[in-house]
Amino acid sequence: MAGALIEVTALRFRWPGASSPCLDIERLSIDAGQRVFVFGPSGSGKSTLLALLAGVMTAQQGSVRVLGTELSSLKGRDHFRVDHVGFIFQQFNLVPYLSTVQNVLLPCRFSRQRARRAAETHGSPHEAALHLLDAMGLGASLRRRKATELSVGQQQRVAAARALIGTPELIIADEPTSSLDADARQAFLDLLERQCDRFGSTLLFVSHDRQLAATFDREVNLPAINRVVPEGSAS
Amino acid sequence: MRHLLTLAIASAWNRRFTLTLTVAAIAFSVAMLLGVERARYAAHESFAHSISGTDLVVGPRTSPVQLMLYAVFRLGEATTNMKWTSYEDLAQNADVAWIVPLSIGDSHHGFPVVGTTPAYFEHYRYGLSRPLALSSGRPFEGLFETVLGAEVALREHSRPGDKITLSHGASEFGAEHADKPFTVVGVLERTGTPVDRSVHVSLESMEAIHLEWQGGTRIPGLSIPPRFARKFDLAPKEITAALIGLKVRGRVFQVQRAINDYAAEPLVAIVPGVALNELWSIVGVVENTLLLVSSMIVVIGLSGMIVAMWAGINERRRELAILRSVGASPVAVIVLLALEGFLLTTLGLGLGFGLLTVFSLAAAPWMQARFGVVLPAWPTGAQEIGLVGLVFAAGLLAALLPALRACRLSIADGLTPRI
Repeated sequence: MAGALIEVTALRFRWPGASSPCLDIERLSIDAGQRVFVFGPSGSGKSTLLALLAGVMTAQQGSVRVLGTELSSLKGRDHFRVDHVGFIFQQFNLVPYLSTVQNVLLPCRFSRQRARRAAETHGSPHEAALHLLDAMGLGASLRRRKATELSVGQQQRVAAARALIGTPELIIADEPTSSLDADARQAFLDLLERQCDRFGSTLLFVSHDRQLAATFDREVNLPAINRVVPEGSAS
Repeated sequence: MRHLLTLAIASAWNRRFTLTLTVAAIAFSVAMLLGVERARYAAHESFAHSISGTDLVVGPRTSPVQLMLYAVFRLGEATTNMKWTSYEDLAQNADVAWIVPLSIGDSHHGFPVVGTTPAYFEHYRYGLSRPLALSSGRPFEGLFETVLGAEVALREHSRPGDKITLSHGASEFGAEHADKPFTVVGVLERTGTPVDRSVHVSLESMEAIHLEWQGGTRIPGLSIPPRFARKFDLAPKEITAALIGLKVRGRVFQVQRAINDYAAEPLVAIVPGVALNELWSIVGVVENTLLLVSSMIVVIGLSGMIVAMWAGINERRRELAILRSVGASPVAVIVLLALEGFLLTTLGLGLGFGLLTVFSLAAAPWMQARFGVVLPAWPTGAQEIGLVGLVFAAGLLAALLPALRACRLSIADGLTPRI
């Protein structure tokens, strides 16, 4: 897919009840297939930007286009999200009462498109889930385990497998490595990048840890493009 | 929808210890509500069938409810009597198939004594036209013989061959007719009607024990031993009421009018079914109160569910954010929680139903022996189905409260719950 996967123009977002906006971005464009490192200290609006890109929230002003679709006016944003975006959170990524495999399969339950694509590549969503868990270095012994019985590093890798299943165009990772130690951090990053490359997914990786930026195609410094001065940082 | 149900079940199973308590609370409240409804139904049925097969109840002119109270329920006392000659007149009436006289007023340890004729055992009907049956012994024949209702026999531990004494008046502390003891000759089977509480004697026995009485007190110095009682004229002079069966039921209103217009004495004839309904409407206040109280218990049970689900949401904000990230819409969040409410309510209803059934079956022999009424083990009618539907709807509605809160929270949280 050529051209911009994400197009943000004249975006202004204010939390309900807040007096001043927390995001004010003139322009942000991310090409398809790119691996982008979004850097910003905490409070710089990273999570808010991700929520807007995922269509969980909508901006009061401006335009957010993902895959050429204007999100703020889109009716089935939740459906669009699961069809096209894979999400990895900072921690507590897994639904505690589901097994490892069931957690990976969640997007296929909510999206027919993800289920179909997973079946196309691996025969069935279930096979795809097992394959992805293998690829993320999680052996057969862990598949039937409850999510809560896994280590934090294992949980993050299950979350990555879930984000990747059914090859969504965009993978958004919100500080996925901040709860991992240094070795595990790099190993996780390598696995994630390899899988994104394989499927041609665009990776949007958000972190406050600039050391990780080395292997990415591009680095976006959020404070540099966000014209809002974060509260507290002025002093 | 199906994957949401799977999720709802898995999530509920994950919190099964808390939710089991919730389901138990709903189950007990439902069992209580339906139990009260069934008891009400059974009581009404038994009440409405306290007497059947009798077309008219006749007595001295009084209010129908009062006549029913003492003639059928043997409660209270008649203020006036009707003459024996009127009874004989009625017996001659061409429309009358049978007539049973009742003479009420004395008691035995608080149980009402009914003076009557052997025709009573032949014609008295209760329930759906069930005749009286003796569980032991025989009907009374001679003087100073008595047939006890099942409740009397049970409470007094009396068996055929035992001797009992009657008291004057309905109160337990009336003067005893101790000089003329009665022999128990028979005990009736349980009917679940006031018959169970009655002590039956012949009209002649009734006259005999009152030989030396006048105007409610004993004539001083006069004492007639039982063996001489036979020598007196024991033909009854007065009775309290009479039960009448007609040859043709369709004639009931003509006969009723004729009796109400009876010239020799002011009498009243009432149709038992109509009067029973009138009486029940008085008792109805109690039944509605019971139903209201048990409804409140269901409300408390469902409140428990709201509390459990509401408290659960805070623990589940992270989980809901994950579900949102994989495509669950705010509506899906509501559906997920509503499904949980549906599951809990359905389980509670089912379990409550089961509990009640097991209880009614297990307690049936004991209840039959103790009260003469059995709690129905199966649904009793439209009103009960209606109650079940109401509980179900209330359960879903109750679940909507936490569901809406979960939806609001998950919209506000987006993908990053601030806990």
